[in-house]
Amino acid sequence: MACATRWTRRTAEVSTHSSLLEVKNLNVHFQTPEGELQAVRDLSFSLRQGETLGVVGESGSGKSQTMLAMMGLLANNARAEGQVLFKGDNILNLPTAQLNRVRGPRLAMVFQDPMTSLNPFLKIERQMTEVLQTHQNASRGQARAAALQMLEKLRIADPLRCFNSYPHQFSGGMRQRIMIAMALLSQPDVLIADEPTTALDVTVQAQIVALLRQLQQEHGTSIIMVTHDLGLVASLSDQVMVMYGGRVMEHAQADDIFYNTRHPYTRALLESVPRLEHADDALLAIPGMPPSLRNMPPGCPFAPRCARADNDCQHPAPLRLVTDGAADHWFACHHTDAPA
Amino acid sequence: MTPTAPTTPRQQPLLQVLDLRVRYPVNDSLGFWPKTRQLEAVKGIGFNLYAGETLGVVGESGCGKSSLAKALMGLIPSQSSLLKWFDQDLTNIPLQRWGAVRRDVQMVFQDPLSSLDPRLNVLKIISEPLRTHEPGLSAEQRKAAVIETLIKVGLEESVLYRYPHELSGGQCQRIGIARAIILRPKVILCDEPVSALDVSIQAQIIQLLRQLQREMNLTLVFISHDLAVVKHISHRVMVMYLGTMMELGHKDRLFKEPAHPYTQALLDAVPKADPRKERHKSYSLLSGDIPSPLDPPAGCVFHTRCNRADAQCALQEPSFKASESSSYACWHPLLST
Repeated sequence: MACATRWTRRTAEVSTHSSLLEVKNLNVHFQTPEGELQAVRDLSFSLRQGETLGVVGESGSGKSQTMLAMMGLLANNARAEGQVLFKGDNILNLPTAQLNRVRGPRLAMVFQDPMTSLNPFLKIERQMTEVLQTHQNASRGQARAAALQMLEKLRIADPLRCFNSYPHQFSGGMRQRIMIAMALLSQPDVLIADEPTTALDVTVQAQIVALLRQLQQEHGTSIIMVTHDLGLVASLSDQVMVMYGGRVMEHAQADDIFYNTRHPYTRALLESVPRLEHADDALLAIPGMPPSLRNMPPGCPFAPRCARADNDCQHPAPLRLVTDGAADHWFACHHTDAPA
Repeated sequence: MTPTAPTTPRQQPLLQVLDLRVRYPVNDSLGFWPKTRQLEAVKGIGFNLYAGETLGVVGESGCGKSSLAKALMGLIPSQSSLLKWFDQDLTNIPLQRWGAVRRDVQMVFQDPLSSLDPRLNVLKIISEPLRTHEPGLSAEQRKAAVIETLIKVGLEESVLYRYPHELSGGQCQRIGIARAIILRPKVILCDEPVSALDVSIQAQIIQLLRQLQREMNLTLVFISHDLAVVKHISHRVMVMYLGTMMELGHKDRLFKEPAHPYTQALLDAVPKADPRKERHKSYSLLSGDIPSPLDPPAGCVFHTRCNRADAQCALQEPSFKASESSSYACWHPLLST
């Protein structure tokens, strides 16, 4: 029961050196029978060592496609443009052989559904040791020892028995922990977690969050946390990027997103999520639904649902800096430089 | 907006349940010959449901909350010492003879798309309950009733001849709700009605349910794993763990001063959308997973993960203590002094 992880503000420890991972003007297009669709538009961000970026958005906001583009895992009919600089080298659209030197060992990803992302035919041992044997040419014995150690670190009871089991023998939380263990085996610099706890219960989610924090403090891993859960973002992130309709709506330090909100969408999102800490029963739903890629509004994607929308919103709003607030607070809205 | 608490204790309950049990036979054999064991998904739950209230049911996956709803609906067989819907004693009545109750108790399911028949259009889906329970209606009358219901759930007449795959998740869930309310039932059991929806759509559906409750004087049983959602919609909340009721109480008290350590642990586990507080929060986590319901712990089912557990908890199952302010099953409750 007793496992208390103290969380201190991370930003102070984040190295101030140049960024570890930098994404510049990323665009993702899909070629479909109905024509070309754009899933991600002109997205840029940078991540320093030991920093956590939270990416928030609803389905269809382009958050997962951004991550898949960075990992070179897009579907066959997709095309990515722009730059993904990892330690200064562009890794976007590299040939698979070169890309494999970076993704896996340096950039690792944990997927949303722990049920379908493990191979049901292979025992955990084989699936875990494969990582090290492929990426680090480790011998079977070395790989086994390292994998066992990692399972212990993730507080999995009886790692040996775990090794000899198949994925279906575990609960969702255990499977997700195994996925995280696999991703961390090669000690990556960046861990991309795409909705890692969405399928899990809150008590298990809290265990996974504590685990990620602990690993980050021990190894200085940078984390990109993709989620729709604002609570999760608040508990883990240093900077937060809010996405909608394939565009970045607001991007700032976590505190500024929550306490100094500028974009009407971010504000609406914060107000529409039921929260435990709110005493009153006020819940302001956003009317309408998120736009589909097939008929994206020509201007600001949020305009059809926005209370502040007017004629200006027929044109896309460029990302601009907040003039009077904290540094690095970007938002894309024609209106209001005052807090939304 | 604030739900008014309608629970006056003297009121006659709509539903009375005592010692409700749901068992599933499962094959526990590793060899060739099947060996059947009983998995008890709901073990001895008793409560009352009052007219006009919303009873929230929370718990982790596998705690038996869906089985409870299905048993109350009469979709799966159950045993109980008392099960009484609207003065009809159904304790030992076989499921086939529940007919009249099914009309007054409807259900909304979790997955909005897969709970609608993909081969029926919206008109047929929503009018199906009418065809079953009111066979005397003409086609025009049915269509008029469907259109009226569609407007009530915030959809337009234009979706009438569309099929479920043409609609979004939020629209499908509205159709699921329309299907549930067209017979003007007294009670709706909602089994995770918003957990498959996007956050901005979630709030719309919650508001719709609340509005319908006001307009039609509905009684809701709202099942969810999301404590914040349950807090927003419920008047009273039941916390379940491994098929057992751990705590039942008025929302305000249960969320502010939980008596059961499990309720407290659940509340602690929810991250708050407030980075300044979250960063400095020290977690007291529940370790491990829920024990297998095939092999539940003896004594209090929660003692294997509880930080207040002692020898007594492992030996003896705590009985459910009901009082005016709080009801819980625990030997060592967190009581405010």
